[in-house]
This record gives sequence, structure tokens and C-alpha cells, in this order.
Amino acid sequence: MPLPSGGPVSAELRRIQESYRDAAAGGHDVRDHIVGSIYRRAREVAGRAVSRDGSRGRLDWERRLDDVLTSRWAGIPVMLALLGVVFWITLAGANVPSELLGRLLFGFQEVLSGLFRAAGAPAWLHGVLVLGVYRCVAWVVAVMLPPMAIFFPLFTLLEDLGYLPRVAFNLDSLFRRAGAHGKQALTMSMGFGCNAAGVISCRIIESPRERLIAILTNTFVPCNGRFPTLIALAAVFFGGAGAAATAGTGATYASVAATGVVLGLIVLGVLMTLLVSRFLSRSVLRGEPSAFVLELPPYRVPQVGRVIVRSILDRTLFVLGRAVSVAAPAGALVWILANVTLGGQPVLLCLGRLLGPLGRLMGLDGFILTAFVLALPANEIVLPVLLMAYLGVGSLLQFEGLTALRSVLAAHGWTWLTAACAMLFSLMHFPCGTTLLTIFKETGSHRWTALAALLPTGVGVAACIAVAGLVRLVSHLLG
Amino acid sequence: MSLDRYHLRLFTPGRLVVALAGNPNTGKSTLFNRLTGLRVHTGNWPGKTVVRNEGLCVRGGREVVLVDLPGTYSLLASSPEELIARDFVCFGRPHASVVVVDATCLERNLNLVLQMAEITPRVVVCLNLVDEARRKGIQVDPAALEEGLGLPVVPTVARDGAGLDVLMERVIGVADGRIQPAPRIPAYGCYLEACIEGLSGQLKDLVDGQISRRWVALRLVEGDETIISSLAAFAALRLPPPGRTGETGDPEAGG
Amino acid sequence: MRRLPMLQRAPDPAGPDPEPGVLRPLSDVPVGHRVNVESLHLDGLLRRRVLDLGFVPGAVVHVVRRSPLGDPTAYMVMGAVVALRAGEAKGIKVR
Repeated sequence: MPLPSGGPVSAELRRIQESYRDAAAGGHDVRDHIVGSIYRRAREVAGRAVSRDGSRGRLDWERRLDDVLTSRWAGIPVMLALLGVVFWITLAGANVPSELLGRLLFGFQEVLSGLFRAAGAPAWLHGVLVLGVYRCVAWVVAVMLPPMAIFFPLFTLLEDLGYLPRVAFNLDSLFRRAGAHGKQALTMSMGFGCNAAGVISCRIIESPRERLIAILTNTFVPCNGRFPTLIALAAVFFGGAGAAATAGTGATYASVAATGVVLGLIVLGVLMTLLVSRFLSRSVLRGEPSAFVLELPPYRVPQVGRVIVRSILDRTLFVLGRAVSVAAPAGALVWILANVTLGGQPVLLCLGRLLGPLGRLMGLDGFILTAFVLALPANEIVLPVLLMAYLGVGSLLQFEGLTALRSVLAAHGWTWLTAACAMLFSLMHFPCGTTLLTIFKETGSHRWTALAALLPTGVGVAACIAVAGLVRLVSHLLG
Repeated sequence: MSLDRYHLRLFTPGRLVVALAGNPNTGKSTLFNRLTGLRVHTGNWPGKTVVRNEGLCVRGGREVVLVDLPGTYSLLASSPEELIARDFVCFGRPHASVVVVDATCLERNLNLVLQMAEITPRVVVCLNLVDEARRKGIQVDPAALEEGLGLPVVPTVARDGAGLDVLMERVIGVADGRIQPAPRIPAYGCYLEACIEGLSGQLKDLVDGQISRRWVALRLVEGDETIISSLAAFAALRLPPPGRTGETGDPEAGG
Repeated sequence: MRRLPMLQRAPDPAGPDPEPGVLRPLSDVPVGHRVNVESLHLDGLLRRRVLDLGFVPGAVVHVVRRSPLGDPTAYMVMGAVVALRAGEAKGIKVR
């Protein structure tokens, strides 16, 4: 028996519903009555099936753990320490694998070059595909893969343990006063691993308004892709690395000062998240705070093995996928810009000069800005692109060590102020390509995606101009 | 009502489709992972940004596609997740549904079980986390629970894999029609029951006989807006003739 | 049919007995106390959420602890721990 199609059915149903609405005296009471009846039944059934004996041992253990983890005095310090440990393990643990992976992949590049030579391929093809695409992909994979493969399993372990709701429980007050939702503490933490993953995790926030606030501010915390840049710059300019004969690439803190600077940036990032959230909730995303109803599940020992395997598999696939889809064309573009000339100069350098005035205003220079712009697809390539521009080389460079980095940057006029502004801008600029795509997919709106790109950039530019201007003014006044 | 609308990647004719529901934090994911291993496909529910996991589980020579519904506290459609779960169970008509309940807070979890049972009688209750319950000094009697609910109850410890074979056996039994649960659903008091009775009569020509008219009537009386759009959307489909595995031909579910 | 006898509930080490019938908002109940839900003065989505989580009239609620920053507060209801902000708990009248 075929049923009438959509329109007539709903009209008829609505008519029926209306006729009963008055009879049933309003949905509110009926719903309560229904829910009440269900719960009464549940109580009956449970009453007959459940029994308790006196042993509450396990319950006390869990409660005591929560007494510490969410207590008045120890709760937040323990939480910060725990998250700090996760970051430390991620950054320190990713060093050696990143280096090894880098050496492996760049080594393979030689093989590829050999193949191209043997096949008699034209130089430009070799340039675009090997020096451009492959090199960029290799760089992104080598830098991104190890930290992600460590951070996400750790994060998932915390989640399976049941600890993450406690983080939201501890920090909700802060976020509520910023007009946002306590669960934003969680999405923000996720953003430390990868902003795109952080944006996806915003689904746990039910209210669309607060979800949007969380999405738009997620980029204010530095992700795994930006940490190496921040750490390298902090180590060189605030930690004195590369001044003496210090060997080793990658993320090794040269001194306590450098560590302090990076931590300071993280704190600044969190602060900006809260401030911008507040600003948004008072302007474009005005509205009432939604309900915060959060279940604090019992602690459960996570199945460590399974979590690690599943997490690594997922993460590995994600990074590789991203490297290919986003970094590959970026690599091609960058190579083309560096090797195609316009009026005698590679386009890359022309861009650098074009952005010069704005760059200098921000305490940077045109090349640094160009590097940031070209690193839209992947934050990891900021420094390599910058070095490429400075050294007038046609392909992405891997810096051999902090010493080399220091000398190149110093030779191009970098001071501690330049580094400070570069780090500020790295912290607060448009989200990377993958994140923007993810934001578009999650919000379905061009408008919000555009805002997601413009808002942090605006804040970053303003902050750099302010800091640069202030420092210059002070040093001018001081003589 | 067909499953085609849901575009299940792992579904082929001959395979059973079983929905997996439950409150959050009941070990539903653990159960899902345990039963499906690596044969999992992750995607989204059609038109939504809510993740959907499908997995293939093979037991006793039968192939079962497990569809992991979003974890919800109820099916009263207050959120996209609840709407998805409810619509899938009601309109997607899986061959059977499993509700995972947490033995340590049974009373609250039964809320979802009772709501499921009102939609369809093909429900199996997976009583999970019995090890934790024991540690907390809580004991649940599966037989008493079975009697009280009118549904099959299987105690499990999903993380260890205990009870899973029995669970799948009962599930397949329900899907095949060999086991026919007779859920004891709540009665709502004379006045409401009278309303429901009257409403059900009017729904005869509008609602496919395979959907519980009592349940639809309840939603209408309650003032649920979404039920009308869901019915309209699904009523636009042509009905496949009855004849799936174990279809006994009795259209009136529950009530 | 076999019926299990209801074992005597062990005295709850968690807190003192409910205070004699003073009707007040849940947000006013200090930590450690146990109360019964009397009625809900909430609307819409929040009301349904709260009901779903077990705050139905007649349910026993135990105030477990407050967040380090003062808000929200964790409540034990129907065997699970749920956190609510003061603004929401205010709408739950308990005795």
C-alpha cells in the first residue's frame, strides 16, 4: 500500500497534533509526565534487579583521586603539570624520530633526482616535482608526523581514562566569564596538537554559538606545526643557541630563558583565546550562555595497547593525507615562485619587496611576511621558505643547525625584536589551509571561514605593530 | 522502510544490520571495537557532521553490520545525535538493536532502554561493566532484569571480551525472529492512554504499519516537532514488501 | 520467577542525612549534603538534559564537590556524577 508523499502527510499529521494539543494541555506537562512514567518504571525494574553489598572500597579510591584532581588547591596546578608533561613528552620525544625521518626522506630525494636525470627529464620538471613537491611533502611529514604520533595517543589515553571532563570542570568558570563554554578548554587543548583536529573536536559543544566561538579562537594556541619554529627562534634569540659551538637541529631548548619564552607564548595564546572569545560573545556572537551539563565518568584504566595502535594509525594516515593533498601543491607553487623570474628577479623576491613596508611596520621584513603567506598550506614550512628567500636559493632549505640559522638570520638584519614579532605573528595569524578547510566543512559558511582567517591575522598584525612601535619608541627615547 | 537512505557502506543483501545504542561512557565503543576489529568504516550520517562508525562482525557464520549510533541519554530528539539515533532505529529498521547499559548506574540507563523498546521490540540489552559494578559492591540480576523489561539481557565485560559470544547469539536470534521479545513498556495513565488510542486510529492511513503507531501518537501528543518532518521524509519512500529475514508479518510493534 | 531480596542499603559514608524538609534551590545546598528533588523550574533543552541525567522528582542527589574556581558543582545522581553550573542548579528545587 503506497503512502501519500511528504507534503500531504505532514499537513495531516500537523492537523492531528493541533487537535490533541489543547486536549493534552500543552506539551510541557505531557513530556514531564511521559519522562516521569518512564523513570518510575525504570526505578521499579532496577529496584528488583539491583542489590548492593556493603563494600565501597573502589568508590572511595576514585573519589579520593577526584578529591586531588579537582580540589581547590591542587586541582589546577596538577592539571597544568599533567598537560605540561604531555607537551614535554611530545616535543622531546619527537626530536630524534623527526631527524631520522628527515634524513631518510631527504636521502631518498637523491634517488629520485637520479631517476629524473637518468630519464633525461627537463630541469624544470625535476625542479617542480622533486625540489618543489617532494621536498615540501618530505619536510612536512618529517616535522609533523612524530609529534602527532605521540601527542594524539597521549591525549586519547587521557580521554579514555576519563580525565578530560575534569579539565572542563576545573576551567569552566574562566570560559563562562569569557562568554564561552567550559568544554572549550578541551577543544583548545586539542588545538595544541593540531588546529584542524581541535576544530573538529568542537562538535562536543552543543550550542552553535559557543561552538563557533571555540572554532574561531582555536588557532590562538600554537599547534605542533608551529612549535618547531617558535622553539628554534626562542632558542637562537633568547637562549643564545648557535652563538657558541652547539650542535644539533630541532627542538632542544638552549636555556631556561628560551623555555620561559615559549611557555610565555603559550600562556599568551590561552589569554588571547579568552579575550577574543569574550570579544566575540559581546559582538558578532552575542547570546545567552548555554547550559553546562557535564557528566564526570568514573575513571577507567584505558586499554593502552589498543589506543596507541588505533591512534597512531589514524594520525599517521591523517598527516600523510594532508601532506600529499596540501603540502604537495604548496611545494610546487613555492618552487615556481622562487624560480620563475619577473623583470630579472624571482617572483618570490618581488613579493618580498612588495610586502616590505608592512613587514617593517610590524617589526619584521617583507620576506618574513611572504614566508608566512606562502606557509598558509602548512605552518611547518615558514622557516624553510624564509631561508630560501634570504639565500636566493631555488628550493626549500633544511637548516643544518641552530648555528647556521642564527648566522643567516643575523646576516639579514634580525634582532631580538624581529624574533619576538615573528613569534607573535606565528602565534596569531590565519589558520593553516587544512584548518580553514575543516572550518568550512564544519560551519558550512564562507562568512565564518573568512572571519576565522581575518580575525587572528588582524589581531596578530595589530599586536606586532604595537610591540614594534613601542620598543622602537622606548629605544628612541632612551637614546 | 529501507536502509538505502542511509547508504551503509558495509551492507549487502544477506547481511544483518544491527544498531548499537547506549548512554555515553558505557563502554559502547569498546564493545564496538571488540566485535568488529579492523573491519570498520568511518563516515558521517547523511547530511550531518556527526561521525558514524560501521563495522563488520562475523559470528557463527553470519555476517552482521554493526552501526554505532551516537551515545545519547534518551531518544526524545532534543539534539542532532538523538534525532539521528531515533530516526535510524525507527525508520532505518535495523534487524535488531543493542542497547549498552552501565551496570553501575542501571536506573538511569534504563531510561534509554525503555524508550527503545517503545519504538521496536527487537532490542537486546547488553549489561556491560559488570566487573566495575562488582568492585563497587553492586550486583545486577540479569534474570530479574529480563523479566522486568521483557527483553533479553546479556551481562558482558566488553574490555575483556566476556559475554560477547552470548550477546551476538541472542542478537542474531532476535534479528532472525527466533527470539521474539515482548517488552513491558510503561503505561501512561488513563487520560494519556485514551488520547493515544484515539490518535493511533487516525494514523492508520498515514503511518506505515511497520512503525509503532502508539509511539508516533505519543510523540505527537508530547508536542515533538521533529516527528512530523521525519515521517514526511520517510513516508515519501516506496515501501519494500515484507520478506526480510525473520519477518513474521506482524506489523504492530509494541502497544 | 526468582526474585532477589533487597539487601539492606549500607549507610552512605558520603554524607549526613538530608536536612528536614526545607525547600530550596540545589545551588544553595552545601557540599556533602544529600537532598531529594522536588520540582524543576527550568525550560526547554536544559530541562530535558537535566531530566535525562536523572534529576527527576523523587531522585536523591548528593552534592559531591565544587570546582576549584567555585563553579560548576559536581552532583551524584542515579549512580553517576554530573556537573551543573549554579545558574542551572538554581532551577532545581530540592528538599
